[in-house]
Amino acid sequence: MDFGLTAEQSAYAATVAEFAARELNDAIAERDRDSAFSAEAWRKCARLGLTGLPLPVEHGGGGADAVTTAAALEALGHGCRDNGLIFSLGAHLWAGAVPIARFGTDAQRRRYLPAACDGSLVIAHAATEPDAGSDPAQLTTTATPVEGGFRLDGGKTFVTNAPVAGLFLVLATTNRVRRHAGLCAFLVERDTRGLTVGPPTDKMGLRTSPMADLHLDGCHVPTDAVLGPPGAGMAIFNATMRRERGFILAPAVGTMRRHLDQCVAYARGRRQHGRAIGDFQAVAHRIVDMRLRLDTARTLLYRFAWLLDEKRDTDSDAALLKLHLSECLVQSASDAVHLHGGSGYTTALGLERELRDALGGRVYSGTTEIQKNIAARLLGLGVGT
Amino acid sequence: MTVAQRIRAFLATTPGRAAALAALGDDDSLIDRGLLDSLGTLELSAWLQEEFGITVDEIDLTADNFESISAISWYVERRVTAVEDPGRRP
Ligand SMILES: Cc1cc2nc3c(=O)[nH]c(=O)nc-3n(C[C@H](O)[C@H](O)[C@H](O)COP(=O)(O)OP(=O)(O)OC[C@H]3O[C@@H](n4cnc5c(N)ncnc54)[C@H](O)[C@@H]3O)c2cc1C
Repeated sequence: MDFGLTAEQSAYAATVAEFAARELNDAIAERDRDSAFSAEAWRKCARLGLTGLPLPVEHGGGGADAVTTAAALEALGHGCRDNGLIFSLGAHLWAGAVPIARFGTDAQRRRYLPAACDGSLVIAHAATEPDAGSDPAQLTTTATPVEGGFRLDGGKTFVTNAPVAGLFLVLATTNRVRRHAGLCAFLVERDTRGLTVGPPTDKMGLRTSPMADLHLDGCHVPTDAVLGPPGAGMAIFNATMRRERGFILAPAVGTMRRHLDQCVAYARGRRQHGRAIGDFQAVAHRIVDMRLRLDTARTLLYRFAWLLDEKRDTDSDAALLKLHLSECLVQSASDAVHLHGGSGYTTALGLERELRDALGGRVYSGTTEIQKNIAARLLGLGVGT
Repeated sequence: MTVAQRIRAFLATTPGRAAALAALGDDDSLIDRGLLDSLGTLELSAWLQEEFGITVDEIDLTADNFESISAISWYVERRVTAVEDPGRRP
């Protein structure tokens, strides 16, 4: 097991970090307040190749292996304070473009991946419904076979990127009684008749990442809109979630490194009771705990990436990684707010935004409890879904 | 033990499943009887890989391959053949 980066990987990560710090941090407070997605920042990411980083070179992607991808995403999280933009990028890649690259037909890959890589096509993943979140087998959006394809009817909620997406990966059921075995994944283009995107969803954090509900009302899709072989909907969903859990919080390692650097600098400079606050053991210990969380999170991330490159990753690895990274990120952001006292609590430093952004990580891609259920089941413990 | 018997024995280790499994034929649907949910499929897949030394591709976790004990056995046998003779695609 070797987690050391090659000179080439390190250089690429440095380029990404420097680019992100220089190009992606404009007017974040205003955009956070206005829930504004930056199309300009997205295009800049695309120009650097980030919108297609792990995708096949033959379709315009970067063909990056998992360790290189992890390093680039960590660097992005370190340089870029627009966590919503990073999250949108993650949703586009892991829940949209990567499943098409892995499970799509040649025609689907040729149709969608070049545009996904060059950033002109944003992809969204629509699985969650008002009555089906942690248990997707319970979803009620139906796919009814009709002449030449399927008719989709139902509603999706919390769809990241929906307001700006040109393509939706929609999970529906062809047989509700069969629960998970009845699921089927569809690629639905935005201008398909019967598909409507609702108004933008207002939310606590990740506000620069646009979100909306989706309505499917007699939405006809051709047979070649089905992703993967028949009966593979749940397999595709699980495989997509495994990869998403592995990478969606990779940038958080960079974010935590940024929190740590900021807290160390502040603790050394801020003086109370005639001393730098970092001289107080209680403050120093809090910072040491931040460092420990960063190191364990980083190790788990690169271990997962290494396992993936070795084709030895498991659902348990992905679940534990997502669980640990999301919890560490929340604690890191909370510590950063606390350490900066009243200033941390105001909006001036942007740390309260980091905390609001971090909290979503405990929910998306399966909540903390669901990750623990997965890990428990794979230990042979009979925990229900 | 045959492959099917080993799979049956593994499935029976999950608490509360033994009685239902006793009444289940090898060709009966595990899914329709509520004996294999989505997480159960992942759990079974992890065990199959360890027990039989095979690789289970994520995309293979379909209803077709995991419908019944017979279907799973047939899948395992094809994968074992693939391990023994990598040139042959199951
Ligand atoms: C920022 C953000 C972005 C998102 N983006 C997308 C997207 O792009 N596409 C998409 O389809 N969805 C998306 N989601 C939805 C997300 O996947 C769901 O919110 C999540 O899976 C939880 O489902 P739910 O909200 O219905 O909560 P519920 O499933 O109702 O859960 C409510 C509470 O009950 C707990 N709970 C539920 N079941 C169990 C159990 N078996 N054991 C223990 N506890 C349990 C949960 O942990 C949670 O605390 C997003 C969510 C967020 C916050």
